[in-house]
Amino acid sequence: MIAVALILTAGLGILIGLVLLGLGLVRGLAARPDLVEPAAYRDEREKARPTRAGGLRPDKAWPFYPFRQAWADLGKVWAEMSGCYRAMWKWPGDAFYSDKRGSPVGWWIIFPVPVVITICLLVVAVASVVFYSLFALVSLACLAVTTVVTGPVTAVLLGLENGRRARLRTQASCPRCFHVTPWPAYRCPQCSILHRDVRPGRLGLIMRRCECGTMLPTMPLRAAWQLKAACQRCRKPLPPGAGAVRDVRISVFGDPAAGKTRFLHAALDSLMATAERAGIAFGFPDQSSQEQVELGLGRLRAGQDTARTAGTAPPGLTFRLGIGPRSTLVHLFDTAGGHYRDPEMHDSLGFLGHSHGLVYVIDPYSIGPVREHLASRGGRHGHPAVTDPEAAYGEVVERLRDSGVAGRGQRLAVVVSRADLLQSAGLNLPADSDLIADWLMKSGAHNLVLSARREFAEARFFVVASQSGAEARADDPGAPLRWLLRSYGVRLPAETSSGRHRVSQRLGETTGARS
Amino acid sequence: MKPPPQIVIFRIVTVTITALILLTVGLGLAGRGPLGGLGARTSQADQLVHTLYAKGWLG
Repeated sequence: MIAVALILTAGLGILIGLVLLGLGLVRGLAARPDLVEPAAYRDEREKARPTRAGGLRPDKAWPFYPFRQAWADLGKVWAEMSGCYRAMWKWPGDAFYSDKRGSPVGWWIIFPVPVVITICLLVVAVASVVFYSLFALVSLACLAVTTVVTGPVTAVLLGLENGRRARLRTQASCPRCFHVTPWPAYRCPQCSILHRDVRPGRLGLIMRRCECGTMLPTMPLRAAWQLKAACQRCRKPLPPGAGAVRDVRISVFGDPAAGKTRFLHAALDSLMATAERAGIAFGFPDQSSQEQVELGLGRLRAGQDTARTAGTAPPGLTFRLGIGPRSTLVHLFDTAGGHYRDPEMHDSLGFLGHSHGLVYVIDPYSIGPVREHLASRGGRHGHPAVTDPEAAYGEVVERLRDSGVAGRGQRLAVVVSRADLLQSAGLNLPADSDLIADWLMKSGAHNLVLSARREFAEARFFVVASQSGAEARADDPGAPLRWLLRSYGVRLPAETSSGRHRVSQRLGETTGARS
Repeated sequence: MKPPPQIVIFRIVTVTITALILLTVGLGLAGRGPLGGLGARTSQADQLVHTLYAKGWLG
């Protein structure tokens, strides 16, 4: 009889344990779940791994279930089951084992009742632990399966992304604040919050869910074409494709009045013609760049003087070569010559250090021996640069080295401008890089030539006439730009040698004798 | 805040699997379903109780 009573009591305890599990699941997962929301998860991540100076703050998006919510669910179900079990013990505990409801002696006189209820509750405890353990095991198995599947996929996707970034040199550079990052931030189209790291990971493998509920693609390769990119530092918009396409930055520097801006526009004019001939799409991703170039080209084509570069911080000029994921974003930076000497402008010249290629424009009239030679022939022009070209070059190089920029990672194009004026004054310059370097050395700029070859990964010398329609000539202003772009993997048609004339036999005599 | 569908799906899957396991084991102990073999163990335990009861060892 006792055995039957015990078996029945145990059976009842197991059933109640099952009901407890059901209650725990319903309350813990549906009725009052412990939901780990994006903001809370971000705070947890930040607390666990504080963001370093200059590092990216974790994004506000729903974490992938196995990484956080699964553990919260397990904890909540256990808490609900424990709460229910404690509630079940309340009356028997008070009645049988304390004086809260009067003396418990009365209950122990009717002996079997307290014992049966106590045994039943103990069986409930064991059964609840067993059932909860089963639920926990199932949850952990699901987590393990998910991790086994998603882990390698994440590694492969990250590897592909890193490989593509390294191969194409995809970066996100801001033409306004000159901040360069491996990938930009992307704005949620619904709530406009920035997602600073959209790589596959804890917030999603293929897609992630923004705090507002909007599904966003992971990986810059996909996000770049579906979301609006923004600078990680100043939050200003970046061109479509930023972070997913090749990004080349070229800075033009030189003395005031050396013809930098005119060279820039003439070079662009030539490059646009080259792109058109080769069937490569050419366009401007922002209105500011387009207006700037249209204005410059209008002056160039009309034969008017180019406006002097403004003394304010120099904006970048961005254009796109090609279409879609295989296109290239090219940023050209032009700054007023006086900025290099102005210590207050130090920060606004940040683009110099981030440039892949540099173009140093020399006004040949600023080279003493050349100026004297041309003066003897009556050749002169209205606004010659007045500073020694070696001095301006030295200031920029010193600035770069002081900033910790390794020159061996940059290429330098040394451009001798105003070839048309020289030619009209009877001075034909060579077209070959080495011959131009020789001519510069003989003309008194030997320190510049030696330093350029020593300080940079590669230095080439060009002679250009900053005129419209010069792309087929030897003094094509687009040649330096094309060389730099090719050096960084941009596919452009092969350089034609047509029109590139030979060194004038008189050059060595005219300038070399004086140096 | 409403939980995203991904979370709801994971929860439904884990609860369903747990319920199925419990159901299968329960039916198995009753000698039914894919784990019907467990029924033999239940019968053995039942017989043991009957034997002990018949011998008067269980009071």
